[in-house]
Amino acid sequence: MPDPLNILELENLEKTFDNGHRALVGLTLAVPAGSIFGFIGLNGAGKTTTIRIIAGLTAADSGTVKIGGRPLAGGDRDYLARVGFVLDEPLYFDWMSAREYLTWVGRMYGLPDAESDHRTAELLDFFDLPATDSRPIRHFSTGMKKKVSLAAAIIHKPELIILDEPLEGIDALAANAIKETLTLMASRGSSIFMTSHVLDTVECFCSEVAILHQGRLVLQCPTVEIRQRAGTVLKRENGGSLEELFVELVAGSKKRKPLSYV
Amino acid sequence: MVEWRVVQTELRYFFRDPFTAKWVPLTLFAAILGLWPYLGSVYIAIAAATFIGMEPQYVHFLHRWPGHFAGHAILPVSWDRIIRGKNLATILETVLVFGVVSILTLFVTPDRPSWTESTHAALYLAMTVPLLLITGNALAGHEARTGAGVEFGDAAAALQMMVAALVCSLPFVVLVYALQLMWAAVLFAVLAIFLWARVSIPHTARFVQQHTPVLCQTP
Repeated sequence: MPDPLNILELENLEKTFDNGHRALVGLTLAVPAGSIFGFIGLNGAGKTTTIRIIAGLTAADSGTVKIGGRPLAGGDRDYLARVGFVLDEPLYFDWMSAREYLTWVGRMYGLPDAESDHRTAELLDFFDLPATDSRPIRHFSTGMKKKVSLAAAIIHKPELIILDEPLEGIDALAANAIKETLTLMASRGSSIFMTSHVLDTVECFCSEVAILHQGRLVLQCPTVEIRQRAGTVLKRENGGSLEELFVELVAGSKKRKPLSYV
Repeated sequence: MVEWRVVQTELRYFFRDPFTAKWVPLTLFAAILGLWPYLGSVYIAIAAATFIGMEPQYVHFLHRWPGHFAGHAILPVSWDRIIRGKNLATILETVLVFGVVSILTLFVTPDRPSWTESTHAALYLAMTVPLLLITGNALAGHEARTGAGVEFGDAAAALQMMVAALVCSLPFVVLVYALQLMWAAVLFAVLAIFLWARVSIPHTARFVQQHTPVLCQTP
């Protein structure tokens, strides 16, 4: 039975690429509605593959994806109206200006023209993107591209926002603005599913965290329980941080040898 | 239903495509070919230049630039509407290019085409463009390139387009020139438009929907 409290459910997702690499091994997880969910793992752990499967850009070998309790079936594109994506590839229509792109995306999401224009203007202002800049997005800096990408993902006020490393390559002010926006959206009912390598940020910002290692889920818990879990795993009374827990879970006893010449 | 925002975007990209400059040599090609006395009609040269240059719009319309396909795949608009929009933009662009290349070519060629020749040119477009759209829709999901530019694959695709245009011109040659059955030619055009709108587009949309993950793997 679908759990109405979960906005996103993945059940037994399996994915093996043509080169034999097993990207996902029976991945099962549930993202509670209204949560800010941090999905972390090493490079190549399977995070991006998971997101691409949710977006329908990669096919899983087996398993199900449910959004709002409804399994995604082939041909169903309606769910895309309820989701906003910031994917690993920065932007797909980078020959447009930021204003053109946001207006266009808003309209493609079904917003009335006037509303799309209004939200575009507000988003450009909010993210400090020059409203009169007619340069194509491809000429923007990495941080600016990321901001445009995020603006496009939230212009239609989706129920679920899926972000692949949204804070990578952007300045502190923009990161702060993004976090504030996402927190506000979560407080108003949207759910955020994001990947990140910045574990301090995940620990402070997310309400729930999952650790993926070699395609397998090794931990999922609310971030308030992290200190206690870390303490148990590290066998320390005063607990530990998410970073310590993460290192312990994915690296285990395999500690790096220090560089001999340092 | 047509997704007019897709039509707008396609038209906008048509004018911003860095390879728009290709129309200069192609117009020159049409003008030089148009001077050839054995050609029959200057419109043959104009059509050849138009269809060669329009190959990306006919065949390569899902992957015009890296990420183009994925960009549409994550938006909640049906592939039927997207493909209809893209095809409609292609028709508008073909008419525009055919018109502009005609003006420039006719400016430098000494012979003036007759009224009948111009009517035949319009009928030729009405008969051939839907067939080329059907061909392009059938190939689009199978022959994806990374982007459209000036590499070897693009030249090969242009050659393939020329062959496709030649084959798609056969009904016009047979009905208008050989049999001189104008009514049959008009009927053929109507039938071709019907097939394109009611069979080709829904079929292509279903194919794209079923093969989205595969099509996304195109770099």
